[in-house]
Amino acid sequence: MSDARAALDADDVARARVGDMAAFADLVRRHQERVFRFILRMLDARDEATELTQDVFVKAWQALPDWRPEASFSTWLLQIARNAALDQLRRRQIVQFAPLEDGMDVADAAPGPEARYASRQQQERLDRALQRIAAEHREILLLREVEGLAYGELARVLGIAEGTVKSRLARARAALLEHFHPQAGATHE
Amino acid sequence: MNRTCPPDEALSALADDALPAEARTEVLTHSARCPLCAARLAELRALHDAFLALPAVSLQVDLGARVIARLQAEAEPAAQAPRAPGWRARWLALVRSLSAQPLNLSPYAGATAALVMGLWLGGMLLEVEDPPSQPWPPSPNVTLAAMSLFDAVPPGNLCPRADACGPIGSAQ
Ligand SMILES: [Zn+2]
Repeated sequence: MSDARAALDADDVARARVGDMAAFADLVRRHQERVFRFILRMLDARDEATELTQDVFVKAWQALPDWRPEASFSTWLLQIARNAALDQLRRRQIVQFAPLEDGMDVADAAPGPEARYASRQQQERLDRALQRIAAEHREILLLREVEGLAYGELARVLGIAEGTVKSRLARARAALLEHFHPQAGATHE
Repeated sequence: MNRTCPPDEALSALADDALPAEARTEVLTHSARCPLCAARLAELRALHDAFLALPAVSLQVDLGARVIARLQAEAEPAAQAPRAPGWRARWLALVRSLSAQPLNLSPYAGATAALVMGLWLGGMLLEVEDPPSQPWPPSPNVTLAAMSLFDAVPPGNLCPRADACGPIGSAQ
């Protein structure tokens, strides 16, 4: 995130902490897409993700006094989002590895010649594969590969040591690659 | 994988460009002559590309207005009966209907609505005969006390219930 944006966040947080809801609304608007994107891919359910994204911001409002400038507001939000998503999965009781039947992959049905088609196929297969691995692996992959968090930020969001980040990422990738085989050339349209 | 091959962890970190310079050179040199590691590295990089190619998802809703409406609604002391329930209900319905609109409103519309809402509610509280028991604007703590959505569990805590708290084994 840019320094300017971080400064904007810090300013809005300061105002929101003394009860300025308009400032908080600005924070919500600035960060809602990122929080939603992460939660949606964690839960794979749009309506549920929309609700939970709202909950995350309500919870963030409540926890504003706990925010410290050492963590970027964005990373702090992802931490709340991550906890909320895991709680939700726990409520669904599928937080542990939920094996799906083999052969549910979308691929190989009728592969078309167009790269565009191959690209969409690959996206669907990746989305599907993500739902087949443990939540612990899914979350770290989304935070790293999609949200681009650095190892230090991952450690903070996940509450683990940086050394653990490294090993968990490797295990998560290995787990995902058991269900998903990226094809060179299929990722770009 | 050969005995001399770097651990998968090192290849994974290399794909993240997160290896110290010396280790990075070592792994790259090895991969240049080890087809197994070269293939694994290519796979990890292709995986990263596949993530980047995932379609963008968008909320298409102004959560700013929605969240503020919810905070305002939930901050209302439940015990304190509204003096003009008709007005209040109508106003809340209006806010909810406005905030339910997709985000093709001006980005300032939501902020304006939130400001107006704050002033309006603040004014309304001042008009109440009984002095409000809470300061205005409400501090996040006051709001917290009025809300029942979440347990009193700090963020960063994964406990499903407050009484189930303990070190999170699964995090390690
Ligand atoms: Zn090797």
